[in-house]
Amino acid sequence: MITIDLVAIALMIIGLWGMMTQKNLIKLVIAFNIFDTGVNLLIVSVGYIKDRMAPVLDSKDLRRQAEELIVDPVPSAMVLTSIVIGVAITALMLVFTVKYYRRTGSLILGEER
Amino acid sequence: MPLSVVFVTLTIAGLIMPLIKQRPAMMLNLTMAMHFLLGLLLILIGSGWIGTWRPPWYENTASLGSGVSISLMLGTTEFWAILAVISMIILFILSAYRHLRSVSHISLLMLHFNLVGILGIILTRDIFNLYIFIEIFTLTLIGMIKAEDSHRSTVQTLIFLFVNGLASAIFLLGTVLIYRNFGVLNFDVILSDPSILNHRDTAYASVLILSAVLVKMMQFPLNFWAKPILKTGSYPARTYIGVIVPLVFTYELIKLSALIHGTVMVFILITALINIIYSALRMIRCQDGRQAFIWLCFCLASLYVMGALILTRHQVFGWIGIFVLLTSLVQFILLRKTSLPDGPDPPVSDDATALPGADLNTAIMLMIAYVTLFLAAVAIAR
Repeated sequence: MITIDLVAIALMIIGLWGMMTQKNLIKLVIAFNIFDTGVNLLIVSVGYIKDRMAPVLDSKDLRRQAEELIVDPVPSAMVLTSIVIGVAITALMLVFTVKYYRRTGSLILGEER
Repeated sequence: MPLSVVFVTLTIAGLIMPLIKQRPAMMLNLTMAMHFLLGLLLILIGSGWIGTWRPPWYENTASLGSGVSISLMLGTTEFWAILAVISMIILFILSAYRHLRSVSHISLLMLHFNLVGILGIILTRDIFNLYIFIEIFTLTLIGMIKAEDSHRSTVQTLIFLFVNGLASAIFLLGTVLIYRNFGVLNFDVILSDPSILNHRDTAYASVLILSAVLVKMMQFPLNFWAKPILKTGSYPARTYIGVIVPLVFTYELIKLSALIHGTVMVFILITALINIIYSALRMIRCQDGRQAFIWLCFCLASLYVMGALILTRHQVFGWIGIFVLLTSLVQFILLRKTSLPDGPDPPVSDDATALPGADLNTAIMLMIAYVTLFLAAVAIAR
């Protein structure tokens, strides 16, 4: 689990670095998404329990022993919601990026042709 | 339940949209009242279910006994918050009447979702649900702000989106930190369990959550980047956002007050004090009524934070409600006084040179420095 945590933290640092250093709007959107993915990965890692299966309970036996067999489903549900919100924010960012490009002919914030 | 609220709102908004074009004044009032009542009813019915939600395998149910008083406390503040929000919405309707031409149809549609967000923020008692409703609330604000189709407006909306997105991720990190350590997300459970409240990780989580809330309510130190965002909206939208954002998030801070430790409290109060002085000085020096209006918004928003937190420390929750209600009314009256002549606002000039590209990067760097300083203060205090 430490590996996944480290990967998540690395993704967040890369995303933050991108957001702080880049001025190109598309790169900024990508950087934001990398940061968001890092956060989502961290949430998934919280619910992971070693040697357990995904919370898909398709039989009565499984349902009876669910507590010992499956990983925590709550973080997965949280991540799902977080991804949807992330997609909505990204879509809005891209809409305004397109608007900015149409108006200025450039993707660099603060720079016009 | 949150999904059903959004679904019903969307359906009704879709049905009402064609009518808005024909009779805008009447439909504005009707849709506002209908959506507010419907949303209130749905969330009130569902709040029992949302509020008592607990993650699976949470076994410590014994602590719920002392949670009754906390429920009462939250219930009282919820009542005041709803009252304050209703008064603000009535005032918004009155204001929009006189400036109806400058309220776009998109703004009205966004307003419906915005109300869903506000009601959710006020009534939910789950940190993750709070995150969802805050997102609904802040993302719909963009639709209201983006009334002007100008270059300046586009740039400021982009900066708002990036900073806001980052703040959301920070909020989520705080939420995960609490869930990872204690397996709970419910306010009632968290507030009624001293072992959770006094834990070191709760302090760090609360710093992350509070930082995100403060950034979202534009209480960023010296908030230089937030001002042009308000400036780009139409007059009723600006007034509405200028009052409702601090109002809703101040209530949120009150809800989170039990998580605010002494050091964090001092930190927030200092930030609010700096903002009050800075905004007041800028407002006094302002010649233009529009500019003064925006600085007044920031000044009063900081006043909300300071007053609410000081009153929370003395555990007089009823007084907090009265304080928030009265100050919001005073704020609205003052905003009306600083308003411009009737009719639509003149278009915002496309002054691109006033918006250096470094604005976003500086805002993000400052935000990270602010959160780090916040965390360091907690670590030193402990």
